[in-house]
Amino acid sequence: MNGLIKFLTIMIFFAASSVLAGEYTATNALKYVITDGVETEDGTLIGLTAEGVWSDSRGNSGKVFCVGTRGKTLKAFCNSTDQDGDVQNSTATRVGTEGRGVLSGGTGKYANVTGTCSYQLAAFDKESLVGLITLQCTDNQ
Amino acid sequence: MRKYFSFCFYFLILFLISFKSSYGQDFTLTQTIKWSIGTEIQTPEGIIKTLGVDGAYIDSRGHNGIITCVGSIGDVLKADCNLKDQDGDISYLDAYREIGGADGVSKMSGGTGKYQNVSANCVYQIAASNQNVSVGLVTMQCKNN
Repeated sequence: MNGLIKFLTIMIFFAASSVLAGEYTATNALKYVITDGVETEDGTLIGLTAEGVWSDSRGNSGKVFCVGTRGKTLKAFCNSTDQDGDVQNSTATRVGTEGRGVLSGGTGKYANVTGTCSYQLAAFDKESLVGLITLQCTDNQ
Repeated sequence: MRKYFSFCFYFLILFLISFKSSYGQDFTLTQTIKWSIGTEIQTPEGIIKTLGVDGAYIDSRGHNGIITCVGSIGDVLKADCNLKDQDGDISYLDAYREIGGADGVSKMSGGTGKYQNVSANCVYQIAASNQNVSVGLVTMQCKNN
């Protein structure tokens, strides 16, 4: 009897996981524009915009635009517009080459999508300020 | 003696498998590129413009670095590229694609350091592009020669 309960519990857990959480990967190609800096008590803070394109393992792709600041930590707000014109809102926080993203709704198919991502600055060209970002995300889809 | 030959036979099989996995393996690249288009000239094949590309890349072999290309673009895109990895070694690459066509083709032909004797045939796709900022995401699949 105990064995049956354990088995059913595990099955329900896996079923719930697959219904409540979806995992996917994405790649962003970004060009950065950096503004003048200001001095703060935490050091120099510069403004930045990042604009480019993205593609994910679900078959979606489109354009991305981010605005943010970079001091000891990089913080940015992003809009990713997909091939259907739907927009996903997200925030990004990064120290060094490892970052974390939070997915927070948007328009169309992303209206009720929430989730989190881990991401890496996989490659970066300092001369042209072009970067390649790889993301591993989990959402409620 | 028979055991000795069996041992040699299995050793040879294992060696061939490991050799193939090291040198005959397919690999992929993902590139972020920013392009700039310059001066145009008239040719018998039509107008062509100069093309410059800068960017960054990663590959499935664990390398990453920067990419620089110079070339031309008209009805077809032709470019020669350098992929400079994290160790400073450079792989020479060319690219050819019909504008408005499907996949482009590319060939790696030697280079410096670890790429000196490496050649590969590749196909590539523009997975996504943003014309407003001239930025693209390129995926490439290669087979070592």
